[in-house]
Amino acid sequence: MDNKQKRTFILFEVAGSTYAAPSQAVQQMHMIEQITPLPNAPEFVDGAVFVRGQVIPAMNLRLRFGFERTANTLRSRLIIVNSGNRTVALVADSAREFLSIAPDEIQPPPAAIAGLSGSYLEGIATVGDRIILIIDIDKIIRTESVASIGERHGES
Amino acid sequence: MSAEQELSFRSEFIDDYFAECDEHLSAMRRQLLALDGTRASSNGAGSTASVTEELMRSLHSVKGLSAMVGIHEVEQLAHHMEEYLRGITGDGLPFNEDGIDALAAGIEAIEKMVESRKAGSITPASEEMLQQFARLSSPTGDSGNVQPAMLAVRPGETLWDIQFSPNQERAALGINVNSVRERLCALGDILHAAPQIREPGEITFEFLVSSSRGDSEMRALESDGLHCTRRETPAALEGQEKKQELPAATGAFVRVEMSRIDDLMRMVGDLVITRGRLDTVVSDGRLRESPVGEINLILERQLREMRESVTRMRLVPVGQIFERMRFVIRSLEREQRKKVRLEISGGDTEIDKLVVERIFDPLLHLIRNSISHGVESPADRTAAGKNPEAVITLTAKAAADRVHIHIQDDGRGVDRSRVAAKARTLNLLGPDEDLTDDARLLNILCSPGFSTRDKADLTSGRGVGLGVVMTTATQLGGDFRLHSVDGEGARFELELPLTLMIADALIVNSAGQRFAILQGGVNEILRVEGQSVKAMESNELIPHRGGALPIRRLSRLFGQAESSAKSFHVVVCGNKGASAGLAVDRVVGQREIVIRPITDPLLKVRGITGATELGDGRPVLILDVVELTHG
Repeated sequence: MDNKQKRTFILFEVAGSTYAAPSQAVQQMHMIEQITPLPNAPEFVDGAVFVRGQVIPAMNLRLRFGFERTANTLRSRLIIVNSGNRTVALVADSAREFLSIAPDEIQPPPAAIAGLSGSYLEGIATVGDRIILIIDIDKIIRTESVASIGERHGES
Repeated sequence: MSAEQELSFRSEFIDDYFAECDEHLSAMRRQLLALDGTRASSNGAGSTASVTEELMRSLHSVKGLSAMVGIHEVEQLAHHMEEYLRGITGDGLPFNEDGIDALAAGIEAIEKMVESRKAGSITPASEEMLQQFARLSSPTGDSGNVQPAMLAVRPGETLWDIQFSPNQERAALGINVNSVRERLCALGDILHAAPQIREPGEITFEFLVSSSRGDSEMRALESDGLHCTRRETPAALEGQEKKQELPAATGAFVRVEMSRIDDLMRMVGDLVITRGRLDTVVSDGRLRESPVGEINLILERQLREMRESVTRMRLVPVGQIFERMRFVIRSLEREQRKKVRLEISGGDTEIDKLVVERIFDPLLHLIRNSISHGVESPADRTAAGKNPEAVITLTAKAAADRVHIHIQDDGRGVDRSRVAAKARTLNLLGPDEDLTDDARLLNILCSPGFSTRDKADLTSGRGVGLGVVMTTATQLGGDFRLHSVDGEGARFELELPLTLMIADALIVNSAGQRFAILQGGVNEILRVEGQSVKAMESNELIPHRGGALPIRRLSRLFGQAESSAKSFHVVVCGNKGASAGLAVDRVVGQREIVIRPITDPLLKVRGITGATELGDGRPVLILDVVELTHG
């Protein structure tokens, strides 16, 4: 079979949608315990956390994707991802699944996709009857796009 | 290559040279250890040969590299060591403890020369050291079957320095390098031969010859255009005597990778945190009076000592970056047609290698700034009754756990009226304000986008301003000050921590969140009653020492809920005349903290320099009071 061509992803939920992050970019996952609020930080930065002795930002994906903030629950997770030389913790509503997806199951994101999350998608996968949005981690944590987030916030 | 080109080539090359030398030196140390090991076990003849080969190659590389950058002292010593080894492999000379000791001393001498060259001067290897390789090459034992190798000055022989400069006339007479070499061989042993370029297009060959022939025979060579000088040989030294004189240098230094020290530092940091947790538990109850309490105190002292000694391992002399400024000044002098002399003092002041690395660019910028803005042209200086050659003084001085670095020039001083005019156009200065205050002046100079240069020249206009210097100083937990006297010069002062990573801090509470404030910059802590605060326009002032102290409330700066408590604490910092207070709900305590840098751009927030942990795994943000209360 073409198993080796399949890529593995960590699946997580944000505001009712299922997203996937390439598993090789995911360093670890945590329950959310201690996030130190960072005054005057961009709105989607919940604060700072320690991961392996390093101070890294915790980015709230709900706000990053333009949804309303909700209180963290026991199911909420910190997904620690690496991109380039940066490490960032993503705050998701929940995360638990590990899934292999074949390349032919992934399509490029439709240009017409609504909402802010569209600009951070690498592709859309259809597995059975599920629709999974594959995120581009580099685009999500890149800071040059921070300004445009602020402007476009509330669009969705 | 013109002299100028050659100089710039050398200065570009010299850093690489130092780095490569470091590598070769550590390789040689390894190889020497291996040689010593196999010699002791006396069964590894094969491996000895290969290690000797490696050692020879390393020495050969150092020799070549040193020749390229013109460090002949190192070249010469490396050459002698290499030849000694060649004698061992080729002639089967005994390889003994003396040999190992001598090689070790030689490697150390090379290292010292390279280090001293880094610092600007160089002391050549003693003749003695060069000779010892020669002596080792001639066996004193009973073997007697071996030809002496290099520099073997046998009894009755003399050393001669012989120079030969080939030219067309001599070539026509059949006198060329090869014929000279043959004649010298007939007279004695050629110990060393090297071409030297004295002037462009002119080459001179230098030979070192050991010969038993008399003066007259040697002098006869002069008729063929050779220049002969008899070298004074030191009084014959007995092998025994010599052995005692060898410096017991081996083992005095160990080279350690920086990352290992960092690991150690981190582990000490973790220990400090763990001790902090213990401290919290102990001070909470009756445990304080129990043996555990006492052990806790001992542990604290021991940890502090341990921390200090680990910290000391990372200290390097600041002089090495001072010296690098000479190159900068040399090229700026040419570029700007100014004359500048650099004076260095306190170059042996030791500071954390991390700090040294971080202040290189700021220092470079300050030097550039002094030359392009402070120092006048030689003509202007003469007109002002000054020496046409300006003096820039770099000073380092350690006091307690801080190091003070001053960059003083004797130029025209900061042009206050020009800065003020520019500042007014940028709305940094009110129309009626003047700029007599140096702290204010520096603040304006450090503002983003501020430059009084109308046109960008090569030196300034690189998009980095004094602001970068200020930022670096702040990030390092240090301070940046200016002292300028019109017509007499300006002095920029950097005050930096000797070491990074661990510091004493105040823990404060604001709206339920804890923050840390490094104690280095804190002048005092005040307890203030709410009713004593006077509001003036958008500022708040409190009476303090007969004057008024402006305060800022952290909760407002950070958009936190305001406390309804009647009194609060104010942390006062800043220089005299420019001090200000940061109001927090209360100061909770004082702790030794481990500073973790904040590097991610998403976490770069004004007024926050880093984070620490107080034992619960939760980051506590470190505040920069100066940044929060000023500007």
